Amino acid sequence: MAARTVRIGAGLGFYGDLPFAAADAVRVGEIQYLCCDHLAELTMAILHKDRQRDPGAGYTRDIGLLCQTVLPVAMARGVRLISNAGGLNPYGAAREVLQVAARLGLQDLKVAVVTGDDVLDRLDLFRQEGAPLEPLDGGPPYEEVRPRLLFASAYLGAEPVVRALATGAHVVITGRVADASLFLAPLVYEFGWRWDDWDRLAVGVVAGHISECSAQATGGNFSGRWWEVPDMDRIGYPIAEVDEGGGLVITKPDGTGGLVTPDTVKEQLYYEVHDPARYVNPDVTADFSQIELVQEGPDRVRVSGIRGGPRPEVLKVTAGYHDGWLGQAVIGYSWPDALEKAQAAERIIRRQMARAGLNPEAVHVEYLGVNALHGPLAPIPDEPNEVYLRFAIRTRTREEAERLARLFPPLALNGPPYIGGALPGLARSRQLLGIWSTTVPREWVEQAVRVEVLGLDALERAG
Amino acid sequence: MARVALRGYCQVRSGDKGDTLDLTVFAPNDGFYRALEEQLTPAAVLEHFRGLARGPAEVYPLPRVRGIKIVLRNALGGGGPASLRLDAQGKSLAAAILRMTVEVPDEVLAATPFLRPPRAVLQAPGD
Repeated sequence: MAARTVRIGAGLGFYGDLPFAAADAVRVGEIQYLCCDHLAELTMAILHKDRQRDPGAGYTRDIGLLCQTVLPVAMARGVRLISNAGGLNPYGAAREVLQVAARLGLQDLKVAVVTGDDVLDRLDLFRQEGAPLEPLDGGPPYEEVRPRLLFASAYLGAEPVVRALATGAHVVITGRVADASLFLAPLVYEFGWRWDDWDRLAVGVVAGHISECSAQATGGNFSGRWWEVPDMDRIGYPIAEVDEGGGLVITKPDGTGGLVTPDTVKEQLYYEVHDPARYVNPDVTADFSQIELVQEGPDRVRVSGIRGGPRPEVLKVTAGYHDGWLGQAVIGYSWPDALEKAQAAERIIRRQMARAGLNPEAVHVEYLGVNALHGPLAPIPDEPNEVYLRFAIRTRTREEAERLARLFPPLALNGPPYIGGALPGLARSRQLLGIWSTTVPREWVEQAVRVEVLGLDALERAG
Repeated sequence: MARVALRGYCQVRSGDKGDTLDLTVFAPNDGFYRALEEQLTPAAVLEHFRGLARGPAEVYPLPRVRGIKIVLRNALGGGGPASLRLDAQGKSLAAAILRMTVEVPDEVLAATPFLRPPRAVLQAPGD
Protein backbone atom coordinates (compact mmCIF):
# COMPACT_ATOMS: atom_id res chain seq x y z
CA MET A 1 0.00 0.00 0.00
CA ALA A 2 1.43 3.37 -0.99
CA ALA A 3 2.37 5.66 1.88
CA ARG A 4 0.06 8.62 2.41
CA THR A 5 1.50 11.81 0.96
CA VAL A 6 0.88 15.46 1.61
CA ARG A 7 1.53 18.10 -1.05
CA ILE A 8 2.47 21.56 0.09
CA GLY A 9 2.62 24.34 -2.47
CA ALA A 10 4.69 27.48 -2.16
CA GLY A 11 2.66 30.66 -2.51
CA LEU A 12 4.62 33.87 -2.07
CA GLY A 13 8.36 34.00 -1.43
CA PHE A 14 8.75 37.61 -0.32
CA TYR A 15 6.89 40.89 0.24
CA GLY A 16 6.37 42.23 -3.24
CA ASP A 17 5.91 38.86 -4.89
CA LEU A 18 2.94 38.39 -7.23
CA PRO A 19 0.11 35.94 -6.47
CA PHE A 20 -0.08 34.24 -9.89
CA ALA A 21 2.06 31.27 -9.00
CA ALA A 22 -0.01 30.82 -5.84
CA ALA A 23 -3.16 30.85 -7.97
CA ASP A 24 -1.72 28.12 -10.22
CA ALA A 25 -0.67 26.05 -7.24
CA VAL A 26 -4.12 26.15 -5.72
CA ARG A 27 -5.93 25.61 -9.02
CA VAL A 28 -3.93 22.76 -10.57
CA GLY A 29 -1.24 21.83 -8.06
CA GLU A 30 -3.35 19.24 -6.21
CA ILE A 31 -2.03 20.58 -2.95
CA GLN A 32 -3.48 20.38 0.54
CA TYR A 33 -1.60 23.39 1.90
CA LEU A 34 -0.32 26.67 0.49
CA CYS A 35 2.54 28.23 2.48
CA CYS A 36 3.54 31.83 2.01
CA ASP A 37 6.64 33.58 3.26
CA HIS A 38 6.35 37.37 3.22
CA LEU A 39 9.08 38.30 5.68
CA ALA A 40 12.74 38.84 4.85
CA GLU A 41 15.04 40.46 7.46
CA LEU A 42 14.38 43.86 5.93
CA THR A 43 10.61 43.53 5.78
CA MET A 44 10.02 44.21 9.47
CA ALA A 45 11.67 47.61 9.00
CA ILE A 46 9.14 48.53 6.31
CA LEU A 47 6.26 47.26 8.47
CA HIS A 48 7.56 49.22 11.43
CA LYS A 49 7.42 52.43 9.41
CA ASP A 50 3.91 51.57 8.21
CA ARG A 51 2.78 51.03 11.76
CA GLN A 52 4.30 54.31 12.92
CA ARG A 53 2.12 56.14 10.41
CA ASP A 54 -0.96 53.99 11.15
CA PRO A 55 -1.40 51.76 14.23
CA GLY A 56 -3.74 49.52 12.23
CA ALA A 57 -0.91 48.68 9.84
CA GLY A 58 2.25 46.62 10.39
CA TYR A 59 1.33 43.55 8.37
CA THR A 60 2.29 42.91 4.75
CA ARG A 61 -0.25 44.54 2.51
CA ASP A 62 -0.05 41.80 -0.10
CA ILE A 63 -2.20 39.50 2.04
CA GLY A 64 -5.38 41.13 0.70
CA LEU A 65 -4.59 40.52 -2.96
CA LEU A 66 -3.30 37.03 -2.23
CA CYS A 67 -6.50 36.08 -0.44
CA GLN A 68 -8.66 37.68 -3.07
CA THR A 69 -6.83 35.64 -5.69
CA VAL A 70 -6.72 32.22 -4.04
CA LEU A 71 -9.39 31.97 -1.36
CA PRO A 72 -12.41 31.05 -3.48
CA VAL A 73 -10.63 28.11 -5.16
CA ALA A 74 -8.77 27.20 -1.95
CA MET A 75 -11.98 27.01 0.04
CA ALA A 76 -13.69 24.97 -2.66
CA ARG A 77 -10.82 22.48 -2.76
CA GLY A 78 -10.04 22.37 0.93
CA VAL A 79 -6.59 23.91 0.53
CA ARG A 80 -5.47 25.57 3.74
CA LEU A 81 -3.36 28.71 3.70
CA ILE A 82 -0.44 29.37 6.07
CA SER A 83 1.15 32.81 5.91
CA ASN A 84 3.50 34.93 8.00
CA ALA A 85 2.01 38.12 6.54
CA GLY A 86 1.08 39.09 10.11
CA GLY A 87 4.49 40.70 10.52
CA LEU A 88 4.22 43.18 13.37
CA ASN A 89 0.41 43.08 13.48
CA PRO A 90 -1.03 39.61 12.97
CA TYR A 91 -4.50 40.68 14.11
CA GLY A 92 -4.44 43.44 11.50
CA ALA A 93 -3.64 40.90 8.80
CA ALA A 94 -6.36 38.58 10.08
CA ARG A 95 -8.85 41.41 9.92
CA GLU A 96 -7.97 42.05 6.30
CA VAL A 97 -8.33 38.35 5.46
CA LEU A 98 -11.78 38.36 7.07
CA GLN A 99 -12.78 41.48 5.16
CA VAL A 100 -11.79 39.82 1.88
CA ALA A 101 -13.73 36.70 2.89
CA ALA A 102 -16.79 38.80 3.67
CA ARG A 103 -16.60 40.49 0.26
CA LEU A 104 -16.25 37.09 -1.42
CA GLY A 105 -19.20 35.67 0.47
CA LEU A 106 -17.07 33.07 2.30
CA GLN A 107 -19.14 33.24 5.46
CA ASP A 108 -17.63 30.22 7.18
CA LEU A 109 -14.02 31.21 6.85
CA LYS A 110 -11.98 30.95 10.02
CA VAL A 111 -8.60 32.55 10.58
CA ALA A 112 -6.20 31.37 13.29
CA VAL A 113 -3.83 34.08 14.53
CA VAL A 114 -0.48 33.17 16.07
CA THR A 115 1.13 35.84 18.26
CA GLY A 116 3.99 36.01 20.73
CA ASP A 117 6.96 36.44 18.41
CA ASP A 118 7.14 40.21 18.97
CA VAL A 119 9.51 40.56 21.94
CA LEU A 120 10.55 44.20 21.69
CA ASP A 121 8.77 45.11 24.92
CA ARG A 122 10.12 42.10 26.76
CA LEU A 123 13.83 42.30 26.00
CA ASP A 124 14.56 44.41 29.08
CA LEU A 125 12.65 41.90 31.18
CA PHE A 126 14.60 39.00 29.68
CA ARG A 127 17.80 40.85 30.52
CA GLN A 128 16.69 41.40 34.10
CA GLU A 129 15.78 37.73 34.39
CA GLY A 130 19.32 36.83 33.41
CA ALA A 131 19.38 36.32 29.66
CA PRO A 132 22.78 37.58 28.47
CA LEU A 133 21.37 38.86 25.15
CA GLU A 134 24.81 38.50 23.59
CA PRO A 135 24.87 39.85 20.03
CA LEU A 136 25.32 37.23 17.32
CA ASP A 137 27.79 37.95 14.52
CA GLY A 138 29.80 40.53 16.46
CA GLY A 139 27.17 43.25 16.69
CA PRO A 140 27.21 46.00 19.35
CA PRO A 141 26.17 45.13 22.93
CA TYR A 142 22.48 45.23 23.89
CA GLU A 143 22.76 48.38 25.99
CA GLU A 144 24.14 50.27 23.02
CA VAL A 145 21.38 49.35 20.56
CA ARG A 146 18.47 49.30 23.01
CA PRO A 147 17.56 53.00 22.65
CA ARG A 148 17.55 52.72 18.84
CA LEU A 149 15.66 49.43 18.39
CA LEU A 150 12.72 49.64 16.01
CA PHE A 151 11.47 46.05 16.18
CA ALA A 152 12.53 42.72 17.68
CA SER A 153 10.96 39.40 16.76
CA ALA A 154 11.74 35.86 17.81
CA TYR A 155 11.76 33.14 15.17
CA LEU A 156 9.06 30.76 16.38
CA GLY A 157 9.00 27.12 15.35
CA ALA A 158 6.24 24.97 13.89
CA GLU A 159 4.43 24.06 17.11
CA PRO A 160 2.06 27.04 17.35
CA VAL A 161 1.24 26.64 13.64
CA VAL A 162 0.37 22.99 14.28
CA ARG A 163 -1.90 24.14 17.11
CA ALA A 164 -3.49 26.63 14.75
CA LEU A 165 -4.10 23.93 12.15
CA ALA A 166 -5.67 21.73 14.81
CA THR A 167 -8.40 24.33 15.32
CA GLY A 168 -9.65 23.65 11.80
CA ALA A 169 -9.01 27.21 10.65
CA HIS A 170 -8.81 27.65 6.89
CA VAL A 171 -6.16 30.35 7.11
CA VAL A 172 -3.31 30.61 9.60
CA ILE A 173 -1.71 34.04 10.04
CA THR A 174 1.52 34.36 11.97
CA GLY A 175 4.13 36.97 12.69
CA ARG A 176 7.75 35.88 12.57
CA VAL A 177 8.10 32.10 12.26
CA ALA A 178 11.19 30.37 10.86
CA ASP A 179 10.41 30.18 7.14
CA ALA A 180 10.96 26.45 6.81
CA SER A 181 8.80 25.80 9.88
CA LEU A 182 5.78 27.20 8.01
CA PHE A 183 6.13 24.17 5.71
CA LEU A 184 7.06 21.70 8.46
CA ALA A 185 3.92 22.46 10.47
CA PRO A 186 1.36 20.85 8.12
CA LEU A 187 3.54 17.74 7.93
CA VAL A 188 3.66 17.38 11.70
CA TYR A 189 -0.07 18.03 11.84
CA GLU A 190 -0.95 15.47 9.16
CA PHE A 191 1.50 12.73 10.10
CA GLY A 192 1.73 13.20 13.84
CA TRP A 193 5.51 13.30 13.77
CA ARG A 194 6.98 13.65 17.24
CA TRP A 195 8.90 16.74 18.23
CA ASP A 196 12.00 14.61 18.81
CA ASP A 197 11.83 12.71 15.52
CA TRP A 198 14.81 14.69 14.28
CA ASP A 199 15.27 12.99 10.93
CA ARG A 200 11.68 13.55 9.86
CA LEU A 201 11.55 17.08 11.21
CA ALA A 202 14.68 17.73 9.15
CA VAL A 203 12.81 16.52 6.05
CA GLY A 204 10.13 19.10 6.71
CA VAL A 205 12.72 21.82 7.17
CA VAL A 206 14.49 20.85 3.94
CA ALA A 207 11.14 20.81 2.11
CA GLY A 208 10.44 24.31 3.43
CA HIS A 209 13.90 25.63 2.70
CA ILE A 210 13.65 24.49 -0.91
CA SER A 211 10.18 25.97 -1.31
CA GLU A 212 10.41 29.31 0.47
CA CYS A 213 12.09 31.45 -2.20
CA SER A 214 9.57 31.62 -5.04
CA ALA A 215 10.98 29.92 -8.16
CA GLN A 216 14.61 29.74 -7.04
CA ALA A 217 14.35 25.92 -6.97
CA THR A 218 12.30 25.60 -10.15
CA GLY A 219 14.49 27.33 -12.72
CA GLY A 220 14.38 30.91 -11.48
CA ASN A 221 17.71 32.67 -10.84
CA PHE A 222 19.27 29.53 -12.33
CA SER A 223 22.95 29.72 -13.20
CA GLY A 224 22.98 26.60 -15.38
CA ARG A 225 21.37 26.59 -18.83
CA TRP A 226 18.91 29.28 -17.76
CA TRP A 227 18.16 30.18 -21.36
CA GLU A 228 16.52 26.77 -21.75
CA VAL A 229 14.12 27.16 -18.81
CA PRO A 230 10.65 27.10 -20.36
CA ASP A 231 8.13 29.90 -19.92
CA MET A 232 9.73 31.96 -17.17
CA ASP A 233 6.87 34.41 -17.61
CA ARG A 234 4.62 31.81 -16.05
CA ILE A 235 7.07 30.06 -13.79
CA GLY A 236 5.71 27.57 -11.30
CA TYR A 237 6.73 27.59 -7.64
CA PRO A 238 7.78 24.43 -5.81
CA ILE A 239 5.48 21.76 -4.53
CA ALA A 240 6.90 19.56 -1.78
CA GLU A 241 5.36 16.10 -1.84
CA VAL A 242 6.13 14.34 1.45
CA ASP A 243 5.17 10.91 2.71
CA GLU A 244 4.65 9.73 6.25
CA GLY A 245 8.08 8.10 6.41
CA GLY A 246 9.85 11.28 5.39
CA GLY A 247 10.22 10.68 1.67
CA LEU A 248 10.44 14.00 -0.16
CA VAL A 249 9.89 14.85 -3.81
CA ILE A 250 10.07 18.37 -5.20
CA THR A 251 7.90 19.18 -8.18
CA LYS A 252 5.75 22.04 -9.48
CA PRO A 253 2.18 22.50 -10.75
CA ASP A 254 1.41 20.91 -14.14
CA GLY A 255 1.40 23.28 -17.06
CA THR A 256 3.41 26.01 -15.39
CA GLY A 257 6.75 27.25 -16.68
CA GLY A 258 10.05 26.48 -15.05
CA LEU A 259 12.15 23.38 -14.61
CA VAL A 260 12.74 20.96 -11.75
CA THR A 261 16.00 19.05 -11.98
CA PRO A 262 18.76 18.24 -9.51
CA ASP A 263 20.63 21.22 -10.97
CA THR A 264 17.83 23.68 -10.31
CA VAL A 265 16.98 22.27 -6.89
CA LYS A 266 20.54 22.13 -5.57
CA GLU A 267 21.08 25.86 -6.04
CA GLN A 268 18.18 26.60 -3.69
CA LEU A 269 18.91 23.67 -1.37
CA TYR A 270 22.21 25.15 -0.28
CA TYR A 271 21.15 28.79 -0.52
CA GLU A 272 22.17 30.73 2.61
CA VAL A 273 22.56 27.63 4.80
CA HIS A 274 26.11 28.44 6.03
CA ASP A 275 27.53 25.22 7.54
CA PRO A 276 25.57 22.55 5.63
CA ALA A 277 25.98 19.95 8.36
CA ARG A 278 24.34 22.20 10.94
CA TYR A 279 21.41 24.17 9.63
CA VAL A 280 19.81 25.42 12.82
CA ASN A 281 16.05 25.80 12.82
CA PRO A 282 13.86 26.23 15.94
CA ASP A 283 12.49 22.69 15.49
CA VAL A 284 15.60 20.74 14.52
CA THR A 285 19.26 21.06 13.59
CA ALA A 286 19.31 19.70 10.07
CA ASP A 287 22.23 18.08 8.30
CA PHE A 288 22.22 18.90 4.59
CA SER A 289 25.71 17.56 3.91
CA GLN A 290 24.72 14.05 2.79
CA ILE A 291 21.71 14.97 0.68
CA GLU A 292 21.31 13.32 -2.70
CA LEU A 293 19.09 14.58 -5.52
CA VAL A 294 17.70 12.21 -8.15
CA GLN A 295 15.47 12.99 -11.13
CA GLU A 296 12.37 10.81 -10.88
CA GLY A 297 10.40 11.83 -13.92
CA PRO A 298 9.79 15.14 -15.68
CA ASP A 299 10.05 17.99 -13.17
CA ARG A 300 10.19 15.59 -10.21
CA VAL A 301 13.29 15.37 -8.01
CA ARG A 302 13.62 13.06 -5.02
CA VAL A 303 15.56 14.50 -2.09
CA SER A 304 17.09 11.89 0.22
CA GLY A 305 19.91 11.55 2.73
CA ILE A 306 18.44 14.17 5.05
CA ARG A 307 19.43 13.83 8.70
CA GLY A 308 18.54 15.81 11.79
CA GLY A 309 19.73 16.40 15.34
CA PRO A 310 18.33 18.06 18.47
CA ARG A 311 16.74 21.46 18.25
CA PRO A 312 18.36 24.42 20.04
CA GLU A 313 17.44 25.42 23.60
CA VAL A 314 17.18 29.02 22.49
CA LEU A 315 15.28 30.93 19.85
CA LYS A 316 16.91 33.46 17.59
CA VAL A 317 15.65 37.01 17.94
CA THR A 318 16.27 39.49 15.14
CA ALA A 319 15.95 43.20 15.73
CA GLY A 320 16.54 46.28 13.66
CA TYR A 321 17.95 49.57 14.82
CA HIS A 322 18.22 52.94 13.21
CA ASP A 323 21.70 53.43 11.77
CA GLY A 324 21.76 56.68 9.86
CA TRP A 325 20.53 57.76 6.45
CA LEU A 326 21.49 56.89 2.90
CA GLY A 327 21.78 59.77 0.46
CA GLN A 328 22.37 58.94 -3.19
CA ALA A 329 22.30 60.30 -6.72
CA VAL A 330 22.94 58.81 -10.14
CA ILE A 331 23.97 60.51 -13.36
CA GLY A 332 24.93 59.01 -16.72
CA TYR A 333 27.50 59.88 -19.38
CA SER A 334 27.67 58.66 -22.94
CA TRP A 335 30.54 57.48 -25.11
CA PRO A 336 33.10 58.74 -25.93
CA ASP A 337 35.22 58.71 -22.76
CA ALA A 338 32.21 57.91 -20.60
CA LEU A 339 34.24 56.69 -17.62
CA GLU A 340 36.63 59.63 -17.67
CA LYS A 341 33.69 62.06 -17.67
CA ALA A 342 31.96 60.22 -14.84
CA GLN A 343 35.15 60.31 -12.79
CA ALA A 344 35.50 64.04 -13.40
CA ALA A 345 31.94 64.45 -12.11
CA GLU A 346 32.84 62.45 -8.99
CA ARG A 347 35.74 64.83 -8.28
CA ILE A 348 33.47 67.85 -8.71
CA ILE A 349 30.91 66.45 -6.27
CA ARG A 350 33.52 65.61 -3.66
CA ARG A 351 34.91 69.16 -3.70
CA GLN A 352 31.44 70.69 -3.58
CA MET A 353 30.49 68.46 -0.65
CA ALA A 354 33.55 69.55 1.28
CA ARG A 355 32.94 73.23 0.52
CA ALA A 356 29.30 72.87 1.64
CA GLY A 357 30.47 71.44 4.94
CA LEU A 358 28.76 68.14 4.18
CA ASN A 359 30.82 65.49 6.02
CA PRO A 360 29.26 62.09 5.61
CA GLU A 361 30.23 59.19 7.86
CA ALA A 362 30.88 57.09 4.77
CA VAL A 363 31.08 57.58 1.02
CA HIS A 364 30.60 54.86 -1.59
CA VAL A 365 31.04 55.53 -5.30
CA GLU A 366 30.18 53.08 -8.06
CA TYR A 367 30.24 53.22 -11.86
CA LEU A 368 27.24 51.37 -13.28
CA GLY A 369 28.37 49.50 -16.36
CA VAL A 370 31.86 49.20 -14.95
CA ASN A 371 32.20 48.16 -11.31
CA ALA A 372 28.92 48.64 -9.46
CA LEU A 373 28.36 44.93 -8.93
CA HIS A 374 31.83 43.39 -8.73
CA GLY A 375 33.88 46.33 -7.48
CA PRO A 376 37.64 45.84 -7.81
CA LEU A 377 37.16 42.37 -9.31
CA ALA A 378 35.76 43.80 -12.52
CA PRO A 379 38.18 44.59 -15.36
CA ILE A 380 37.69 48.09 -16.76
CA PRO A 381 36.06 47.91 -20.19
CA ASP A 382 37.50 49.77 -23.13
CA GLU A 383 35.23 52.51 -24.54
CA PRO A 384 31.93 51.64 -22.82
CA ASN A 385 28.83 53.04 -24.54
CA GLU A 386 27.60 54.63 -21.36
CA VAL A 387 28.61 54.85 -17.71
CA TYR A 388 26.42 55.91 -14.79
CA LEU A 389 28.04 57.41 -11.70
CA ARG A 390 26.27 56.39 -8.50
CA PHE A 391 27.30 58.40 -5.47
CA ALA A 392 26.12 57.18 -2.04
CA ILE A 393 26.73 58.57 1.43
CA ARG A 394 25.77 57.67 4.99
CA THR A 395 24.85 60.58 7.25
CA ARG A 396 23.42 61.01 10.74
CA THR A 397 20.44 63.09 9.61
CA ARG A 398 18.01 62.88 6.73
CA GLU A 399 18.56 66.55 5.94
CA GLU A 400 22.26 65.96 5.31
CA ALA A 401 21.51 62.91 3.18
CA GLU A 402 19.25 64.93 0.91
CA ARG A 403 21.80 67.65 0.36
CA LEU A 404 23.85 65.32 -1.84
CA ALA A 405 21.23 64.96 -4.56
CA ARG A 406 20.91 68.72 -4.92
CA LEU A 407 24.49 68.93 -6.17
CA PHE A 408 23.68 66.85 -9.24
CA PRO A 409 21.31 68.76 -11.53
CA PRO A 410 23.80 71.58 -12.26
CA LEU A 411 26.33 69.00 -13.57
CA ALA A 412 24.39 68.80 -16.83
CA LEU A 413 25.22 72.41 -17.71
CA ASN A 414 28.33 73.02 -15.65
CA GLY A 415 30.22 69.75 -15.73
CA PRO A 416 31.60 67.19 -18.23
CA PRO A 417 29.84 66.81 -21.60
CA TYR A 418 27.11 64.52 -22.97
CA ILE A 419 24.92 63.70 -19.99
CA GLY A 420 22.80 60.58 -20.46
CA GLY A 421 19.98 60.93 -17.95
CA ALA A 422 19.96 61.65 -14.26
CA LEU A 423 17.67 58.89 -12.90
CA PRO A 424 16.08 61.34 -10.44
CA GLY A 425 13.96 58.63 -8.82
CA LEU A 426 17.07 57.19 -7.25
CA ALA A 427 17.83 60.46 -5.46
CA ARG A 428 15.44 59.60 -2.61
CA SER A 429 17.17 59.19 0.70
CA ARG A 430 16.25 56.34 2.99
CA GLN A 431 16.81 55.19 6.53
CA LEU A 432 19.65 52.74 7.05
CA LEU A 433 19.10 49.87 9.36
CA GLY A 434 21.44 47.81 11.41
CA ILE A 435 20.26 44.25 11.95
CA TRP A 436 20.96 42.99 15.46
CA SER A 437 20.42 39.40 16.51
CA THR A 438 20.62 37.51 19.77
CA THR A 439 19.15 34.39 21.38
CA VAL A 440 16.68 33.93 24.21
CA PRO A 441 15.79 30.75 26.18
CA ARG A 442 12.93 29.34 24.19
CA GLU A 443 10.47 28.76 27.04
CA TRP A 444 10.55 32.45 27.92
CA VAL A 445 9.27 33.30 24.45
CA GLU A 446 7.03 30.29 23.94
CA GLN A 447 5.07 30.77 27.15
CA ALA A 448 3.60 33.96 25.65
CA VAL A 449 2.71 32.44 22.29
CA ARG A 450 -1.04 32.40 21.66
CA VAL A 451 -3.31 30.95 19.02
CA GLU A 452 -6.74 32.54 18.60
CA VAL A 453 -9.41 31.72 16.02
CA LEU A 454 -11.52 34.45 14.45
CA GLY A 455 -14.54 34.24 12.19
CA LEU A 456 -16.41 36.89 10.24
CA ASP A 457 -18.33 37.84 13.37
CA ALA A 458 -15.07 39.30 14.69
CA LEU A 459 -15.38 42.07 12.11
CA GLU A 460 -18.66 43.27 13.59
CA ARG A 461 -17.37 43.07 17.15
CA ALA A 462 -14.33 45.17 16.32
CA GLY A 463 -16.60 47.80 14.80
CA MET B 1 46.80 21.23 -17.24
CA ALA B 2 45.02 24.40 -18.22
CA ARG B 3 44.08 27.41 -16.12
CA VAL B 4 40.49 28.42 -16.74
CA ALA B 5 37.94 30.74 -15.18
CA LEU B 6 34.91 29.03 -13.62
CA ARG B 7 32.59 30.92 -15.97
CA GLY B 8 30.92 28.69 -18.49
CA TYR B 9 31.65 25.55 -16.45
CA CYS B 10 30.23 25.97 -12.96
CA GLN B 11 26.87 26.79 -11.45
CA VAL B 12 26.87 29.33 -8.62
CA ARG B 13 24.40 31.03 -6.32
CA SER B 14 24.93 33.57 -3.55
CA GLY B 15 22.89 35.00 -0.72
CA ASP B 16 23.43 37.04 2.39
CA LYS B 17 23.03 36.90 6.13
CA GLY B 18 23.88 40.20 7.72
CA ASP B 19 27.33 41.21 6.47
CA THR B 20 28.20 37.66 5.42
CA LEU B 21 28.21 36.42 1.83
CA ASP B 22 27.12 32.81 1.50
CA LEU B 23 27.79 31.24 -1.86
CA THR B 24 27.89 27.79 -3.41
CA VAL B 25 29.88 26.71 -6.46
CA PHE B 26 28.88 23.50 -8.26
CA ALA B 27 31.18 21.54 -10.55
CA PRO B 28 29.76 19.90 -13.68
CA ASN B 29 31.64 16.60 -13.24
CA ASP B 30 33.85 14.71 -10.81
CA GLY B 31 37.15 15.78 -12.37
CA PHE B 32 36.22 19.44 -12.15
CA TYR B 33 34.96 18.92 -8.61
CA ARG B 34 38.34 17.54 -7.54
CA ALA B 35 40.00 20.66 -8.92
CA LEU B 36 37.60 22.89 -6.99
CA GLU B 37 37.98 20.92 -3.79
CA GLU B 38 41.76 21.27 -3.96
CA GLN B 39 41.97 24.88 -5.05
CA LEU B 40 38.98 26.71 -3.58
CA THR B 41 40.63 27.07 -0.21
CA PRO B 42 39.73 29.82 2.28
CA ALA B 43 42.97 31.61 1.43
CA ALA B 44 42.37 31.43 -2.32
CA VAL B 45 38.82 32.69 -1.97
CA LEU B 46 39.87 35.55 0.30
CA GLU B 47 42.55 36.55 -2.18
CA HIS B 48 40.04 36.52 -5.04
CA PHE B 49 37.58 38.72 -3.14
CA ARG B 50 40.23 41.12 -1.86
CA GLY B 51 38.89 44.65 -2.00
CA LEU B 52 35.30 43.44 -1.62
CA ALA B 53 35.45 41.28 1.49
CA ARG B 54 37.60 41.37 4.63
CA GLY B 55 36.92 37.76 5.61
CA PRO B 56 37.44 35.34 7.28
CA ALA B 57 36.31 32.64 4.87
CA GLU B 58 35.04 29.12 5.60
CA VAL B 59 34.77 26.40 2.99
CA TYR B 60 32.60 23.25 3.20
CA PRO B 61 32.81 20.52 0.55
CA LEU B 62 29.54 18.92 -0.60
CA PRO B 63 30.71 15.88 -2.56
CA ARG B 64 27.25 14.40 -3.13
CA VAL B 65 26.22 17.36 -5.22
CA ARG B 66 29.75 18.31 -6.35
CA GLY B 67 29.38 21.60 -4.54
CA ILE B 68 31.66 23.84 -2.54
CA LYS B 69 29.96 26.02 0.06
CA ILE B 70 31.80 29.24 0.86
CA VAL B 71 30.95 31.54 3.76
CA LEU B 72 32.69 34.90 3.50
CA ARG B 73 32.35 37.32 6.39
CA ASN B 74 32.52 41.11 6.35
CA ALA B 75 31.72 41.02 2.67
CA LEU B 76 28.72 43.21 2.05
CA GLY B 77 29.60 46.68 3.24
CA GLY B 78 27.79 46.20 6.53
CA GLY B 79 24.94 44.03 5.39
CA GLY B 80 21.79 44.53 3.33
CA PRO B 81 19.80 47.22 5.10
CA ALA B 82 22.93 48.99 6.38
CA SER B 83 24.99 48.90 3.21
CA LEU B 84 25.58 51.75 0.74
CA ARG B 85 26.23 49.34 -2.13
CA LEU B 86 23.89 49.01 -5.09
CA ASP B 87 23.98 45.24 -4.62
CA ALA B 88 23.72 45.36 -0.85
CA GLN B 89 22.73 41.73 -0.60
CA GLY B 90 25.48 40.43 -2.83
CA LYS B 91 23.14 38.58 -5.18
CA SER B 92 25.50 39.32 -8.08
CA LEU B 93 28.59 38.21 -6.18
CA ALA B 94 28.00 34.57 -7.11
CA ALA B 95 28.96 35.70 -10.60
CA ALA B 96 32.11 37.30 -9.20
CA ILE B 97 33.47 33.89 -8.26
CA LEU B 98 33.03 32.83 -11.87
CA ARG B 99 35.98 35.13 -12.58
CA MET B 100 38.19 32.98 -10.36
CA THR B 101 40.60 30.64 -12.17
CA VAL B 102 41.63 27.08 -11.36
CA GLU B 103 44.01 24.56 -12.90
CA VAL B 104 42.13 21.73 -14.58
CA PRO B 105 43.66 18.62 -16.20
CA ASP B 106 43.41 18.76 -20.01
CA GLU B 107 41.38 15.55 -20.24
CA VAL B 108 38.83 16.89 -17.74
CA LEU B 109 38.46 20.13 -19.66
CA ALA B 110 38.04 18.24 -22.91
CA ALA B 111 35.11 16.38 -21.36
CA THR B 112 33.46 19.51 -19.93
CA PRO B 113 31.19 21.61 -22.15
CA PHE B 114 31.53 25.38 -22.00
CA LEU B 115 28.05 26.83 -21.66
CA ARG B 116 26.81 30.18 -22.76
CA PRO B 117 23.48 31.41 -24.08
CA PRO B 118 22.88 32.23 -27.76
CA ARG B 119 24.21 35.71 -28.52
CA ALA B 120 21.76 38.57 -28.02
CA VAL B 121 20.55 40.35 -31.13
CA LEU B 122 19.27 43.85 -30.51
CA GLN B 123 16.78 45.61 -32.75
CA ALA B 124 17.39 49.31 -33.04
CA PRO B 125 15.24 50.95 -30.34
CA GLY B 126 12.31 52.20 -32.37
CA ASP B 127 9.17 52.67 -30.38
